[in-house]
Amino acid sequence: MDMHMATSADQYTFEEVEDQLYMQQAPSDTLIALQLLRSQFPAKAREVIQPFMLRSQLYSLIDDRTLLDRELDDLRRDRVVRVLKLPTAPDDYAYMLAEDYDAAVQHQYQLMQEAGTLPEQLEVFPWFSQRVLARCSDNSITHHDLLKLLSADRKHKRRDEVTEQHISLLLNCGLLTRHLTQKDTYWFALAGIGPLIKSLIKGRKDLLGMLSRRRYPEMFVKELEQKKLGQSLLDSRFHMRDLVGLGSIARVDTTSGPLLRIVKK
Amino acid sequence: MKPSVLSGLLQRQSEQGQRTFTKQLEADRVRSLAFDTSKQISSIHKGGVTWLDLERSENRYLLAGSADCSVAVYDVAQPTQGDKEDTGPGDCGSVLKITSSNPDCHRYSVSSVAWYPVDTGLFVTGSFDHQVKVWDANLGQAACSFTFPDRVFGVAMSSAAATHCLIAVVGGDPHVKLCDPATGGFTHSLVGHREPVWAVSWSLDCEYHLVTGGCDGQVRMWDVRTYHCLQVFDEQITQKPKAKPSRPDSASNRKRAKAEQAKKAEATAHDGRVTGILPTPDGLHWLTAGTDNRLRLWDTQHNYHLLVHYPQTFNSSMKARQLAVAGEGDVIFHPSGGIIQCLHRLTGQKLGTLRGHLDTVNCCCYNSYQQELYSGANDCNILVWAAPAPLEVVEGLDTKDDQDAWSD
Repeated sequence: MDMHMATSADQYTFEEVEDQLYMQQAPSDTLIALQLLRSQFPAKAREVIQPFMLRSQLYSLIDDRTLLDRELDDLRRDRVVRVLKLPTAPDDYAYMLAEDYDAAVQHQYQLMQEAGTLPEQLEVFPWFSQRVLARCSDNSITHHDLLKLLSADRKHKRRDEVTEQHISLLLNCGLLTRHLTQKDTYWFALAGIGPLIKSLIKGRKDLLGMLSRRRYPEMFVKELEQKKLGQSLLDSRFHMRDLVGLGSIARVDTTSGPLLRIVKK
Repeated sequence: MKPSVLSGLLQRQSEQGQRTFTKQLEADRVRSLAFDTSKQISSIHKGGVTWLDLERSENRYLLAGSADCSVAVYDVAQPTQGDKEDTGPGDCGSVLKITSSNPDCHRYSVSSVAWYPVDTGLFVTGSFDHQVKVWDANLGQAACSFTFPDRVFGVAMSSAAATHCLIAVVGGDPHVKLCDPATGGFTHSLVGHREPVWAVSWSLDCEYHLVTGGCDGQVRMWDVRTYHCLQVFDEQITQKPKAKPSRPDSASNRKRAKAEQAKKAEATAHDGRVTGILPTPDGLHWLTAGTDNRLRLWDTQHNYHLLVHYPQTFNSSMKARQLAVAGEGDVIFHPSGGIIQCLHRLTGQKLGTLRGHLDTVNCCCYNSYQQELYSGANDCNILVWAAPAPLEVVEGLDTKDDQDAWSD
């Protein structure tokens, strides 16, 4: 930081203003954590789906959870990340960078094109990407809002016809899923999440089982990284961070390296 | 760094009416709460204690409802002089007992109890036997009772009420019912929840505002003068809502407004069932707890979600659980399993854990006069948590200890 003295209490020098602007543009802790997790997303799962980050993994990286929640909310509102609800547990949320989600929509568009869908129905993908994703930053959307946003084209000021087939195409691709409890509402979803949901649940269960079956329910992190979690496409580091963030496992620093221990409630 | 008592007293002399020293002392006492060995409440209950309520006029009488159908009132300010030999010097016994020998007693577990806010002449109990009874505290008899179509999970009376004395009753029936002990009948019911409602609380600033939380995860604020729901707390709304310009009345605008209303009515505050609702004493925030293992803080004025994360507030209860907030409002007591967590209200920091109960804790109640917390659990005990008393310093010659212990 520069050490210029201000000429009066209210005036800032040019350098100080520049420094403040730079600090505002510097990525926040949360964004750096998201990018770190994204770079460490397991390669086996990357073939199936774009990289996503679980909220519990972010909790394990950053101590101040209130600050994390607020920064994530700001990022969501600035459309840098998208929040998606996972059906595994009532409080499970996944975060995906907006550009990754757009890439997933594009991927689905290409798949449907190769499968030979009619071009009028294929139009829904660019509409979804440009009109809905750009305007709605929540993790769910009502049927009424979806129709309104898909059909409106603000630049040319015209309304396109949106049919049931367009919406069912989006549902079949996995980009939207029906809400479980509220009627006429859809959740934004990750396309291709099916096998990963199973991996997530199985992986959590396997890791906890591996620890609890031992005489003392603890294991070194190095030992865990060498073991393979057979039924999961996601690697052990992913599951370890997830469980530490959920509070089921505690990570303790010892003289022989970090140790994982099951937390007794 | 804790200020020394002497400097604090000098400061108190110089400041005029701001009570900073007293507040600091109270805050320190709340932070250092621990199991109190000098005061015990001898519980007469044979089943788990389900709800506690401390009357607000003197902070002296603690009303407890239990799963074995009994209701008791304990005097927590003065230890009772017991005639039995096993009562210790700090034992607080019951001054009123309503057990199965009383013909008016409930037949199943008492789920919720509430004092009449004005004085200690009356209290209300709600039970799983579908009844809400209004009791005369001096005689120990039921003055009137109301019957409901389903189990009662919560009863509440407004402490700010000046023109009405309605009892809000919530239970297995999704409709929230209001009954009036002055007339002995139901006034109306509030329709909106779609599943059983567990948590209820009146607002502290307006006597007509009631907040209820149900198994569908919704928390609704009602105005009891109308039949409408004023607000549905939405966990996705995290900023002060911007003032919308009023649109001219036309068919499309009406349709849009209707769709927006329908969307708001579906909003949930928790992803699981709501188990507790509490307003903070300063009236700035609402606290809600749910089985999605989250405790949420809401702004009162604009009803938006203040994203404060309270760590590890695990909650898997099958009925309402009572939360408590320390007098000045900075420490929240959240019962979770067999422990009570002390959390800072604004930052979410964990300040401590109170361990002592042997089974699930159901309810806790804070006494702001003495900075004590009372908690009831399924192990039939009511425990007292207080700041540790300062150790007595014995001054004088310790000649006894210095003497050698052998004979000459």
